[in-house]
Amino acid sequence: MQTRPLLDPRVVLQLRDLSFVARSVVNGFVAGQHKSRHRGASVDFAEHRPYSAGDDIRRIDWRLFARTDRYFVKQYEADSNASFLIVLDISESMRYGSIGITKLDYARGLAACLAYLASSQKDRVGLMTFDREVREFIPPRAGRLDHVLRALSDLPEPLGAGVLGPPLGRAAQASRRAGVVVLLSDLYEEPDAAVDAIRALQHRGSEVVVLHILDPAERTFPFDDVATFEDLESGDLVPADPERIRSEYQALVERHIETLREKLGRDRVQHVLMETATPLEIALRHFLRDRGGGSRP
Amino acid sequence: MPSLLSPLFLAGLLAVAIPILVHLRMRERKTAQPFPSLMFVRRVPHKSFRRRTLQNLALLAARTLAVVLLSIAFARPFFPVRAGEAALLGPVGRVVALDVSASMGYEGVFPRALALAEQAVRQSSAGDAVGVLLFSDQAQGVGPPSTDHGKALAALLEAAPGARPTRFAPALRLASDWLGALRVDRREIVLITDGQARALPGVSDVSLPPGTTIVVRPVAAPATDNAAVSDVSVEHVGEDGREFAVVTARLIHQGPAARTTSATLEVAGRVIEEKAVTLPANGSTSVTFSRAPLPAGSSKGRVVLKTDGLAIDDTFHFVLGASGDIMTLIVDPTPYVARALEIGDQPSFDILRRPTLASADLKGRTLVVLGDSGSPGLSASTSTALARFVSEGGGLLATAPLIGLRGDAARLLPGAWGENISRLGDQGASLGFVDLDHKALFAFKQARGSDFSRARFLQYRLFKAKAGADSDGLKVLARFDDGREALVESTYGKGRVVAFTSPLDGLMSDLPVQPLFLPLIHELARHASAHENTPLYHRVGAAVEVSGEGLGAARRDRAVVVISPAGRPLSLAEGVTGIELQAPGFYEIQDNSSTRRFIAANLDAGESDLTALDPDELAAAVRPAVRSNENTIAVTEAEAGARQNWWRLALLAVVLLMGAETVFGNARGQKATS
Repeated sequence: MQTRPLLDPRVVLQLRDLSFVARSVVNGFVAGQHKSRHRGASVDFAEHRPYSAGDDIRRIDWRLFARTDRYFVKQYEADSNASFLIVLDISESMRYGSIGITKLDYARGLAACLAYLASSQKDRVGLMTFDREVREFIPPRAGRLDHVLRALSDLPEPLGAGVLGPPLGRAAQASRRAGVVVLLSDLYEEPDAAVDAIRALQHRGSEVVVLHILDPAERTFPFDDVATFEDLESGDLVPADPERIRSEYQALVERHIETLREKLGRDRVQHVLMETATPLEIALRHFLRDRGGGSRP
Repeated sequence: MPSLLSPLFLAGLLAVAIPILVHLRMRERKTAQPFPSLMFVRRVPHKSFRRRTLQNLALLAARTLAVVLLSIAFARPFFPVRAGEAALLGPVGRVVALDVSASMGYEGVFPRALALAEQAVRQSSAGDAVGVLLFSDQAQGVGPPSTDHGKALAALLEAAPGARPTRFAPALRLASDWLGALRVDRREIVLITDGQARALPGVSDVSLPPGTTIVVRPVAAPATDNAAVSDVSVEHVGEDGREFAVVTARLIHQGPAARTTSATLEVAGRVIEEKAVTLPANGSTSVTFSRAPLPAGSSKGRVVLKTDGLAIDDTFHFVLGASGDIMTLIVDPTPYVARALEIGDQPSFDILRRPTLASADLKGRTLVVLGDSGSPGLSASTSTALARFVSEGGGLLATAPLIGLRGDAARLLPGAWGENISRLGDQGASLGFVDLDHKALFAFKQARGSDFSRARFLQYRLFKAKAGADSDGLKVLARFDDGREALVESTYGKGRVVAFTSPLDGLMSDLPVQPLFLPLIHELARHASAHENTPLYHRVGAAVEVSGEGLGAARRDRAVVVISPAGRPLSLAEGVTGIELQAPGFYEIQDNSSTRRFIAANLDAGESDLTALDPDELAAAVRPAVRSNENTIAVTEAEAGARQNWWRLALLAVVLLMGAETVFGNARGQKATS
């Protein structure tokens, strides 16, 4: 079995071409799984059906026409797969990074990988970005991978502090059919409010996965100097002595994470904690393992 | 003031940066630390950090002080005692350096400079040592530093602008020597000058005593308008057997607007022509005068501009004289030498070519060139005539071995000719040694392209100098690569013989087709004929030979009297053959011959450029003082040791501080851990 070095997210996400990033990460990841179901799926022929007005004439099987003198169009397996919606938090707090990569960049790379993976499985891929409101919404459609990747590459500037409730409510309303919804956020909200907002995504029976993105510094508070800390979202300034508050801070953060996991689990929402120092392949593997194995998101 | 026995250890003070950097790293950040969300930080009860900051500052102070004291301790401070305090001339040593260069003669400048100099002297305190020096490109210390300020003021009374260019370096060097010898606390040089930018060369090499300040008092006129004659060239033309000179003068003008002036040409005291000239603003122009008939011998010429603010550069002096052709007889079947000498007119060669040498042809000639077939087969009478020609001051240039001469002519060179040496086997000989310091070849010393080694000689004849030939004036000017003589020179009577040992016929040697050939033959011919090439003019400050070897046989060993432009006779010391030109004008050289010679001296062209130098530029050009402090009194090692106990105290303080720092730091560390 060939081994492949893990891709450092700080390095791989310096690449502007998210399509290339996703391909590199996912293909490397899939090659190590040995259970891929997506081999050859993109060209799998499903059936013929008679041509009807409005069908794309490029799908007409001209050879069959030559033999039967009737129009038939080809249908492929992908046309019937599930929808996959990525909901990405782009609020100001996601722009923090203490190890050379911001949470937003990490989440963006992760989202690209998931989109690529889903698209490879012939799922319909969509994207929604939000801060305090929905900033962009690409409904899940087949063949939208390029749109999604382009949107991930060109994210708008945040409008300020992020909130989960209204944007996720709108995302739930916009979803027309059940599917998989993956939320990538740092979840800086009270657990109850966050869970309520996430619960809305289960509208129409969608399966919701929460990728909780955190920077290592947000869990450890590793600062030495006495400093005035600035809240990236609100701009508030709070003086603090890190040495003195570190342990209490760490306990509060861990309690917050645990509360979220517990409450979301109660609603059958998968909660996956991801630190930006974790290589993308590892993050993907954990995500898929928690979903029951395989490479299908 | 305390002094240090090992001041280099003060470099350890740089280590102060270490605790400061550590503190900076540990101290409270001045800029806010961004963080994604402070929702958890806010929930932590507020805890004061003020005390920790104060602790840091105390630690920083202790560590910094420890480093400083450690450096001072190793530098071993002591308080020197100045021996003989009474001998001190004053607390301030001041040298007033007054510019007396030619440019200071611009209207109104020198009186202003004098007033400033007097002011600098008068403002000195009674105990200050004040000296006065006058400088141009030379420094003249007219009043060494003294507390008697009256001497300094008296020295200024005799000051007047001269004719020499400005250079700051000599003045600063003399001032540095004076100030370095003083035992004073402060040293100051007051430089009063019109500050020409050309005066800076050499300044960066001057080292001033420690603590010396230079105060520049610029006195340049705020707006100058000065015209000057910067150069003159003379073209000789002949007509109807008479020789004329066409004089062209280059005029420069430094002034904001074009103006018209008049330029006058005078030759031998007679006005030849006066012309109106328009001078461009801050530019130059040239004016060519009508031709002037040349009197016999050398005569004085002047181009005079209408007087302006700086009068000394309005007159340009030069010497006119008959071009003095070198009357040359060439007995050489090859055309190379004749063609080379036909080119050029400084000097020009009046050439008479003959297939064979005849006694009658020597008449009126000053130089004979003998080629390959020139000397063999000469009759005894012709040989004798040739020897007599040389002994009476004529020159002989042999472009082939001087073989076959008879009688006295055989002794023209103190040596004997031997067999031919063939170098056909090794593609010819080259010149391995050339005496470029010899007067005849000196012109090639710094000239590019004069590559003597390129010439090839397929055959040459051995020349064996006789014993004691050196005392007979034999000199070897060039040798082949095997060490044998290639070009020799000797004096014979009053004349001179220069001879090649290989024929310059283009067959046995390719020297005639080398680029070097033309200037080489010109120089050798001029040298052999002892032709004097009188320059048109010199610049003030130049050294000019007025008697001795350089002047040729005709004037060697004659008593020489030099009359300065002011009309004063200058006497030459024993063994001195030259003078330094001190003033613009004509120096007249008189010996016991019937002819008089003139040397023209003119101002340095740079003095006419009155562009003032930025005083800061001068201050920046002076190298920082590197000399040791000479005003402290030397003490014995034992005395120094007795006075340096301060280091023990400093070291003790360091130990105490480090102990306190350790205790303090540990206490803080334990508190942090708990």
